[in-house]
Amino acid sequence: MHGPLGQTQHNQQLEPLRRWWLQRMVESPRPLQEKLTLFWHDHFAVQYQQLEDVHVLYEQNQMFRNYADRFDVLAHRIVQDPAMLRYLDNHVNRVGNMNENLGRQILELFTMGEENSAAHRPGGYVRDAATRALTGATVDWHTGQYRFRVSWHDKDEKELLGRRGNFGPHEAVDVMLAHPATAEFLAEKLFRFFVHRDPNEQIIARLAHVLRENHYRLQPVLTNLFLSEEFYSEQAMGSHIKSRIELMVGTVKILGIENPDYAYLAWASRDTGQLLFEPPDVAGWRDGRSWVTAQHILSRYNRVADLVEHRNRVDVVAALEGETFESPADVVDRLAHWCLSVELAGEKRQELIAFLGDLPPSSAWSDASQRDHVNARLRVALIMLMSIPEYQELCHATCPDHHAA
Amino acid sequence: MQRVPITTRRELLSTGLGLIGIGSALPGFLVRTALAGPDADEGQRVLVVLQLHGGNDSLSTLIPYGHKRYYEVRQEETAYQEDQIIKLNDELGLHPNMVGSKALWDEGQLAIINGVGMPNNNYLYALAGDQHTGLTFHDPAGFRYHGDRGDERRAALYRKLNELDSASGSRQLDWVAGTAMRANEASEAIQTRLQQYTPKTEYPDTALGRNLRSIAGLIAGGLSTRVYWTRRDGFDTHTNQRGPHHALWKEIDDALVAFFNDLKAQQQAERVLVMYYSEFSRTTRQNGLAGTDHAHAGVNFLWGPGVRGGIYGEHPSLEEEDGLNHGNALKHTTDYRSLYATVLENWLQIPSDAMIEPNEHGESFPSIHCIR
Repeated sequence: MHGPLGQTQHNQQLEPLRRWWLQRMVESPRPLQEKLTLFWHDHFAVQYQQLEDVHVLYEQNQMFRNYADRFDVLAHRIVQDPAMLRYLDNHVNRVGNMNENLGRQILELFTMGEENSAAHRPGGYVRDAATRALTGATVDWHTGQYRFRVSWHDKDEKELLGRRGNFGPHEAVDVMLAHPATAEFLAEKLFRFFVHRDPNEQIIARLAHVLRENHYRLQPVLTNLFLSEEFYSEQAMGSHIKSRIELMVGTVKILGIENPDYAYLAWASRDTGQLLFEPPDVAGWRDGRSWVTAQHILSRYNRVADLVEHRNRVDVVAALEGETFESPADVVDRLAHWCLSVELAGEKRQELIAFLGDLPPSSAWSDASQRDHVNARLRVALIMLMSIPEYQELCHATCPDHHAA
Repeated sequence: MQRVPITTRRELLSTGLGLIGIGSALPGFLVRTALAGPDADEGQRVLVVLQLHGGNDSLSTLIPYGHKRYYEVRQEETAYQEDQIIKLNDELGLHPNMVGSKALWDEGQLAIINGVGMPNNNYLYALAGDQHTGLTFHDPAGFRYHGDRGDERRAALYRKLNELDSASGSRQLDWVAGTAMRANEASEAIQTRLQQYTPKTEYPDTALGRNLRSIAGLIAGGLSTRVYWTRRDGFDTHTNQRGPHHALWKEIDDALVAFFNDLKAQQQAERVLVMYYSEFSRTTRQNGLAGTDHAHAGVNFLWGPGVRGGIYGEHPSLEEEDGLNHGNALKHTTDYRSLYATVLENWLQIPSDAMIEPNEHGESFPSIHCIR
């Protein structure tokens, strides 16, 4: 992939693709679908730098979006996906010269997880069977599309997860989907993505049951999850750490920014260390606390501050129009309610109130003579509220969609 | 629920700043190294890793002009003629732009390790590794909170809001708060030192020059960090290699000269070792585009007063039957893990067997006597 035109041309296509997706995240009328698209991108992770092909990434992204609700469909489609086949070298996996990369990852990362597939070894046997089943699933040299090469396929019988048969790629996927560990593995991943990293066994078992009952359709599971006690429990409150994309996109939505600068958002996601189409490796992004490192917390603060004050000059006065504020304390409480979903400590609240100081009467804020300087002061207060640990968290991952000014 | 106590500043500093990388993502093995040993209190040794990103062409850096095949595998587009090469002996010489490195060589402060590589290198760029316990930034002066816009009041409020206890007592929130404190402390430690720093020499105004200047400032400023990492991109020279590669080595050599001159003037040079790192080297034969492609083993360098100058190991044979890939890649004659174990044990004084797994026979890797 190192032709004379080199890297620049590829990057010229990749950046628009990133901006396109960020725009979908912000503007889609189906925010949950976009969230799931990101979830699947993380789950079935591939990296642009190993592929240097924007087109297959776009197609893959659309696949995740169009089948966001259907893990069963995605599991089948991923073994026909040119981006994944090339990323994990399955396009050269052939009988007599096998490459086990996809065979291993489909078990360890995409369906049942490392621990559960390990239970079926000795000696990598199950990985072998999966790899053999996947031989022949390749990419056509001329079209770049999926092609199954019969002559490359191992037609002998395989023993996979206790089942015997002459499995091809799709039969192997069916066997993996039928295995009870797969639903558990996926349920836990969903819980961690939407809630927090510490689910108890009962809730995972329950979610897995719902997944199996519904043939891996996600909607019933997510409904169950979002209405569950667990979701609203004290432990769930303030325990979901926003991913970097969630932080940026969520801030745009909370602030009601119209026509945000998507090039800036793409750069901000790079600066805060979560680059779309470039997860760290095939295992996707590390979630939870990994989102907030000493490394990146300052850039999280800085990029959000820029969104409020530099890029967009959010019109806070307009957002609060019609409301009455008797005191700086009222204003601080209102702003905190607007952008935080965890409680602000009493001492911090006092500091903010003291900082904000007296404002003109709220009825006069929209006056031409007052508007600009009141807006400037309110923006600063908002920035201060977003440059704190509390803003890095949510009560749970659907919060920004329910929060409006 | 266990609250995370607000630790003392000193503790925060020592746990947060084990590894500083400038302009790069940090490989996991270095992060583990940095966190393994004690912090660098006054006078303790520091390692600076200089990554040449993309795979530096060894044959154009340490030039085996004495090997008869050199001028067969490299033609005029990529080869250097004898009168251009800085000769070290009858066999090997340095890239024409490595004038500063030659001066260090003359003082016994350059170690050259031949044919460094690793078995099973798949010629792909290493994974980013664990980025979570080191700090990296493109521009150290930029590693700070900007949301205060330089306003004192805002800055003071920001500090308070990030130091006061949080309300809910959630473990996650406490953890985030602790991280924020560490970041702010690190930022302050770095910014203070950089602002107070006056280099004793003029650095070239290049990317690497600026990074090494910052690193010198942090070392001279007494930061507790033991391992620094900086990276220069541009070595993936598949086409028209000569121009870019030539210019890059001028930049590197000039920056290193300034770095050591500065450190010497600050009386800090004795504690600093610069280690070369590149993901892999390049093909023996040049390709049809006046460049070279990914290959295997290559030279490695150590610069600094702590070095025992000299050439270590054998330069790999250029003969076709001795190479890999139909003679188009050099076989390694020194396992990278030997070099790394040497630097760990003899320079940083960290037991290497905790960091480096033994080979398949259960043996650890032999040391190279290139450090005083």
